[in-house]
Amino acid sequence: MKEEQLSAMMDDALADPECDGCVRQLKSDPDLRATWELYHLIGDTLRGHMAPDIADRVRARLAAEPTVLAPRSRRPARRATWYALSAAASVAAVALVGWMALPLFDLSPGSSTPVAVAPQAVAPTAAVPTAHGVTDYLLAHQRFSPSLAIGGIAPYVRSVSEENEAR
Amino acid sequence: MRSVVLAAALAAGSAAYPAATPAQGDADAIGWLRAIYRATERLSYTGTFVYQHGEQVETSRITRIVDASGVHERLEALDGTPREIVRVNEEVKCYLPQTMTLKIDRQLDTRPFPAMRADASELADRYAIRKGETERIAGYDCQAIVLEPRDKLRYGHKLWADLKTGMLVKAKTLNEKNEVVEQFAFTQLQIGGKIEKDQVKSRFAGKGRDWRIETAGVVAVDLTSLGWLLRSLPPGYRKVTEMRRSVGTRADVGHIVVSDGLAAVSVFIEPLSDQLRQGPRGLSRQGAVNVYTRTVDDHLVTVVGEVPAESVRLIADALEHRRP
Repeated sequence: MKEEQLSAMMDDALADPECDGCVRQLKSDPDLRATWELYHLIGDTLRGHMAPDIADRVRARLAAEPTVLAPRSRRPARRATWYALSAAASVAAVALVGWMALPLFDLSPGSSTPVAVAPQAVAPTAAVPTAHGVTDYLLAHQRFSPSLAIGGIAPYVRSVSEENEAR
Repeated sequence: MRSVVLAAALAAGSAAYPAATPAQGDADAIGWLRAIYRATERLSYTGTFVYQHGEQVETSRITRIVDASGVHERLEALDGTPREIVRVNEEVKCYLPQTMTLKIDRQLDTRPFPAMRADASELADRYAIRKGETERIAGYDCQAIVLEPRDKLRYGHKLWADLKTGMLVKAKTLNEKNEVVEQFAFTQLQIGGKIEKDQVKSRFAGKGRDWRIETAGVVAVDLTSLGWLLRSLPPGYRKVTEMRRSVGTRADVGHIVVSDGLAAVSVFIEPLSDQLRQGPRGLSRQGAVNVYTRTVDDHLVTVVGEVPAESVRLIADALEHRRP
């Protein structure tokens, strides 16, 4: 699959001969080039960068010198398992690690909020268990949940996402 | 679904903001919120966005067409098992092919969230609202709008809207440490132009003969008259609507929606069955959503919302039952 190769190439996990083939395909296939640009955009967007000119630079370099994309070190080719996001994830690795490592909530009792009842009853973040079997509640709730104000049905992505994790 | 918040903020109109006092936020920023709300109501678009919460990142495609027959939308998960949500006006269908389940939800009326009466000045009491920088996202020049909570009982939000159309291109939810709780960002987006109708039709429609259909069966109901009332809600939160509905396969679940004009929290109340008696209680989390579960008078109470853990717990604790 071409997208897998592309993703692997972005992860620097594609052997040289395959890489060359991939670059040739990129040169000749506008759809594939669009996909390549999309992968970069995903990474950039996740990092909070404004779609910089990576895609433009790649395009320019493709025109000038295809081999610039060959990996510097040779590693055994491995199968890219999750397509676009494999690439995006590696691009956004720093940002994601940051998000993962940081606790989401500060529940320190010293907060200025009106803590009416036993603040210690709330477990610290690390101990908060993952909720299971809440998909149905989430679906029922999403219709009223405006905070992802893209509007329409976009907030439902939360509950659909949970369905995925529950597998 | 509607952008309840913005609907609420914007319904008030400019007359509600005589001057930009600190308590009322930046009038220009509030004007932008209004523009975003209008855009989400009237624009047709198609695009791919990433949704990220915690370590999870998912890509979805969304298409929305507004025409004479109303609003048609389709949301499709691009990673993992195919899953789809399709909306035609007030009817929302969720197709879960893995379990061959079709969940159908229907809104009771078509007006913008009727009970949501918070005006923007009230929103500004809870959030400091200001304009941020302009940035380019997914090829669009966007204006950032920042909503900073004035206490720890709600999350902050940052929204990026296309300068030309007001379309929301990116949204971030932030906790009190300014860490991202969840975010939504288009990576590719077409606003307006030619969008094929096929893109808002479910590819599972008509194949559902063997599927299990779950209908929400929402009925307006006065839960207070049944003895359920929320006392001493956290500051800024109030009850906006209540109903009886099905949740999954369980019928007759009481559902109260509480909001501060921006964040919404749902309180579900159902009789304790043997199965429900077993479940865990207390705080848990699903992505950006905090969940708090407790037992009240032989009923299971489940509170869910994209708000800090403290808020779901305070709201759960505010629920009382007085036998009628």
